[in-house]
Amino acid sequence: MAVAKRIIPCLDVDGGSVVKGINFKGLKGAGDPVELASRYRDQGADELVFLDITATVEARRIMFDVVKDVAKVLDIPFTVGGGIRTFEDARAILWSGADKVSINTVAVQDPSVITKLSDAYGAQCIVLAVDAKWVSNDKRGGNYQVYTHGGRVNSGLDVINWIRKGVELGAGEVLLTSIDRDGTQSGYDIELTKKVTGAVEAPVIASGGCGSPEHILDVLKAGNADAALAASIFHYGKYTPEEVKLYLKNRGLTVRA
Amino acid sequence: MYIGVIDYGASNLFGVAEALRREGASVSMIKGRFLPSRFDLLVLPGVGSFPYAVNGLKDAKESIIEFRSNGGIIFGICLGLHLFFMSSEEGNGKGLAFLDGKVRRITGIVKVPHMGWSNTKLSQPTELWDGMHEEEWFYYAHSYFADPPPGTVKARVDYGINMAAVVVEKNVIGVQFHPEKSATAGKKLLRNLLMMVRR
Repeated sequence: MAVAKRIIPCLDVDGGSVVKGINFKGLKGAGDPVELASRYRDQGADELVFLDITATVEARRIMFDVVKDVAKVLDIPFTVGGGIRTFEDARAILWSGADKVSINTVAVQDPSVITKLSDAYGAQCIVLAVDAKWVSNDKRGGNYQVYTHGGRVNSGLDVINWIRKGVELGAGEVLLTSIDRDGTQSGYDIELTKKVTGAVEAPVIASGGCGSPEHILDVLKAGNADAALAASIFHYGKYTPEEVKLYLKNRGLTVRA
Repeated sequence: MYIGVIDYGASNLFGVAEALRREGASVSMIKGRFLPSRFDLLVLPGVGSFPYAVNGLKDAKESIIEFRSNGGIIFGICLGLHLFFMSSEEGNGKGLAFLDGKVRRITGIVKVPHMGWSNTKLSQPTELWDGMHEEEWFYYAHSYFADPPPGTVKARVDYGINMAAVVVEKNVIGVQFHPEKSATAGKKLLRNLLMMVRR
């Protein structure tokens, strides 16, 4: 099918500054979201995700200005997530110029928010972010369960059931993060990704565990993900999105040239 | 050049407005009735759902129709293209009815929404494509697609169905993709659009 697999660098923002990915050479303002976004765009990123990890509610207001500044210069799509507690928060992010908003905790607490946002702004700008963790159970083996509050709280929801419901309620895309793999650089959770891509018709962005282009190839091919999100391999200058895409292209995947 | 971007209550008019400003145009948002002669180009942006947009368009509708009758170019993006039709499978409400045909839901073995970059192929010559390759990558984000008379379709995209990507019917121009989010290809297309308006 003529839609390219997407490569999506993820930038963590704290109090208006990017806190990872400041290792680019020749940048004037280290951690400036606008400059980093432009750099990734020039390096062939298909899309960007900004994750607001700001701890305090007051400081979070800064994020709206960051989104506005980025929207002014960036000519590829970008998603903003993290810290969105209400329908109004999500709306404010979209009104500031984000193309998509990703919601996690608020969606679990009040699933009607998904429908409200989707009805007003269209399914294509609502990303259901799901942090999944394998929970074993002595008697029945175990299952993947949905965690909220930045991975701290187990909602008890089954990942597959929740994602099916979220898409039904109006989410247009799923950002699936494996808590087990996140930060390990040992590869994406292929089993988890495969289960999710097989369960819903919405596109799935795989996240958590990327350490190499091979991992990305694996999750796009074996996991059948539509897009791969990665942080470390791009931030520390190990690879550019362009290099990863060339690697994928040489192995038969469709990517944007 | 003065461009009016119709604000029908959807989010993210920002991206479109900024992309046009980067090309040197003066851009203002329009809510409700307006004086058609104030603008060289009207843009219907493309985020939201058909029923919501139709409702948000109500007050500006008459002025848009007048602008079009006076020969002004109207550019619709994604949902903006859909609004050129009478109706959509997305929901109730009456569109602008500038184009014949239908807006239908994407079905089949493909994923919905159609989300991401797709290779888009020129099918009939148009100034909008000047200086571009026969095939270009554009960014799409939609669950519904326009099905106008074949003669008006200038470029197509294959996503299970061979869908209309660029539609031109005299001064009514619509694109299914988001040029404002399509990096270099999008920039070229918007530049060509502004050239067409100047001529």
